[in-house]
Amino acid sequence: MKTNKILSFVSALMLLAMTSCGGNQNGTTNGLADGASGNMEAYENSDVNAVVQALPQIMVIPGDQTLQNFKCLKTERVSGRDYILRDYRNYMLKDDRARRIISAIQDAFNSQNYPLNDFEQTLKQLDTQEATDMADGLDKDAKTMLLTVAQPDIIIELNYDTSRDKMSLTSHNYGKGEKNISFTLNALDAYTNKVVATMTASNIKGESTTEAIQAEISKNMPQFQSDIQKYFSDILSRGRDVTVRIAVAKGCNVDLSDESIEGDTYADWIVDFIKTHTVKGAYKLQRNTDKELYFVNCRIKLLNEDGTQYGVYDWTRDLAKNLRKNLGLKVTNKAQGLGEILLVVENQ
Amino acid sequence: MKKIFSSMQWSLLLIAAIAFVSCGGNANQDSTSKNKKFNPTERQSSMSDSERETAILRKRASLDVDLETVLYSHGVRFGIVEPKIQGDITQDIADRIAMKMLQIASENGISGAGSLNFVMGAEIAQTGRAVTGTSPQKMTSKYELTFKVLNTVSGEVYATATQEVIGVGNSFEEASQNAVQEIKNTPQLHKMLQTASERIISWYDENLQVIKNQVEKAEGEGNYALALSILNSIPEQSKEAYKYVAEKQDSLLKGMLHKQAADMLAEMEALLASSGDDFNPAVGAYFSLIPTDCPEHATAQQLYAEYEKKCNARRADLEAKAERDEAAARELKKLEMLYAHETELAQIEADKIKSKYASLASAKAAAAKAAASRKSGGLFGSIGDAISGTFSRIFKVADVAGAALTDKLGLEEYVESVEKKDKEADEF
Repeated sequence: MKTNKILSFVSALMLLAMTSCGGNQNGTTNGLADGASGNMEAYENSDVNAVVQALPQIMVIPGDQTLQNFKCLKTERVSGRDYILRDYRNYMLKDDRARRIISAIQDAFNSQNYPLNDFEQTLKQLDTQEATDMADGLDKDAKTMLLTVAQPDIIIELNYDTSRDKMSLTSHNYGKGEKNISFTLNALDAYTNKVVATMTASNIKGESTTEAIQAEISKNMPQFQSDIQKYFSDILSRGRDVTVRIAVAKGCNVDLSDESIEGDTYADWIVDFIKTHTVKGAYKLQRNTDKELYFVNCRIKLLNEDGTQYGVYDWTRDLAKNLRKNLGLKVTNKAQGLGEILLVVENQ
Repeated sequence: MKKIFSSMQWSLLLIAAIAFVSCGGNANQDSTSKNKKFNPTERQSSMSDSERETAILRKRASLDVDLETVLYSHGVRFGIVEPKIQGDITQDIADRIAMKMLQIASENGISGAGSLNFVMGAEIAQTGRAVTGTSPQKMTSKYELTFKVLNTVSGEVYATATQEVIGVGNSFEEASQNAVQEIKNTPQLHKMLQTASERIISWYDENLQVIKNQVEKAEGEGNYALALSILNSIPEQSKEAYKYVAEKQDSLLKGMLHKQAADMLAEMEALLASSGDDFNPAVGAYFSLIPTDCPEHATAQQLYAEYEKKCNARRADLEAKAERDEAAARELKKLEMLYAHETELAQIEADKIKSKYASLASAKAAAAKAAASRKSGGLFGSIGDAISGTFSRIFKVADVAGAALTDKLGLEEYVESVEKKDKEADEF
């Protein structure tokens, strides 16, 4: 009897603690903002989470198959090459289900305190930015214009398709068979093109495509999010997975295979640097030419000793400093986003 | 019953314990970032304040334009030829490229687009087009531009430079337009213009007879404006040729003013009709450009005297009213101020008129020269079409170039008329 009482007391205490740890539900306030609360001091004093510090942007983007179904994808031959032209804006207008399906995915991530970046809104924002930049008289070179696009770090590619069973038991029902719905949701690392998580369902029966997909997403979302979390955990354990590219500018009088002042080639020197400046020496050389060295699967650290973040720009800056100081090379840091390292060797 | 209750309590405890552990958030912090607190250190610098100040000044100085270098070719002029309209190169883009070339030429000390003997042109080759895989997609167009400075008399290419540009846009047309913005004043272009300028300066000294022939031919045909334009294209650095400019320009200007006296009179009459008794400095400008030994001068003088009389009458009227009426006093003050600036304004107007005629003659001559070149099928014939098209557009630009012409016009008669106006204004 006494044990029962103790157990009940401990349970009640823990449930109380559990309830309170979810945040402050202040019943006395009415306003949306009034009800919000937070403890910045506690947050600042907690350990640094490198993923949170440089939080990857995740965006749901319609895939090519879906664009094709809505006739928003066409192939055009330009200068002897075939290019796929994607009309995203038109697709967002044509497909009235898209908004609802994307919202269901966004809602699932929101409930995990990970708001996604909205693709449609990003496109609108880019248009607005273009207009305001023009009004402010900002200078833009070709590279800036090329990069003024939606740049998620993780792309969630959505493809879905519907069809009806053509065959039916009675001839007057031909073509009015049950609806088959299929969809795939792939989360991809935009820098390494690695698939982070997938969700697939085919031949789901139902009359409402949106409802069927929404139900399937809700069912499979925990596993999908768990896969993404594993990906984040992997980053925290083994460092950020990045691509490293050392390229030579056009007209430059130096080749990477040229002999440096230290006697070996510039390429030798760069490879040695990568060996010692990646987490546990993780890298894979993919291309080695006179004009370019290209490495994939390079793992770089996430934090400096003082807890400030260490990203691709910092890594490239360190390499650039070394090349300038030790070999006298003129180089430019062109690192982008969270996972793209590019260092350009300029004319000396 | 007791046992069941106990099991439920244990279950409750287990659920609560799991929930308690999990509600703390994910515990995936590991060796890479484990137990690391955010404790940023400020960036340190070894520079003292005075060292920093000196370094900033040095940096700013390095970003300033070196005037000595830029003005090396002051006085050299040449025409600008638009690139051929083909493929993505529309008329609009060709115009933009021509303007960009003019801008680069000016930045390198080329003083204008008035010469007929030398032109700067560009040949354009599209070297690639692509579509990005981004959202939204971007189109890119790549071009190779070969800039040239040509001698249209001998057909020689004086200097060349190439530049590769890439334009990005939401369509290929926009990409081509943006590619023009990427044309930069590079060291290669600077060198090309420097080489071309040096050769142009030498050419004028070595080919004085050719210039003389051109000037005398134009003068013989009564095309004084063209003759002046040719003279004006001679750079000051070409010492021998420039002596000829000093000898010839006064008589040519006099000839031009004589020839255009009827036009000036007509313009003056039109202005008088619209001005009534309001002071208009352009009337004085046209009057000053009609030489005294022209038959038109007598009429112009009479008209101007009547105009002055009307203006004076109005002034007298205002003076009378001024004593009673404050508004009239203000109007009188305005009028007096206008008269005080009459000489200056008249000179500006006169300059504008002179440059207009000189530019027109230059453009006409260039078009004629291009047509002749096309007929003869010479080296320069291939870009003849482009020249005739360009000059009609460059004509607007040539107004600016022509304005410099008046700096060199020291015509005695003109000075006398200005002095006369000064005197009249003082007396007034």
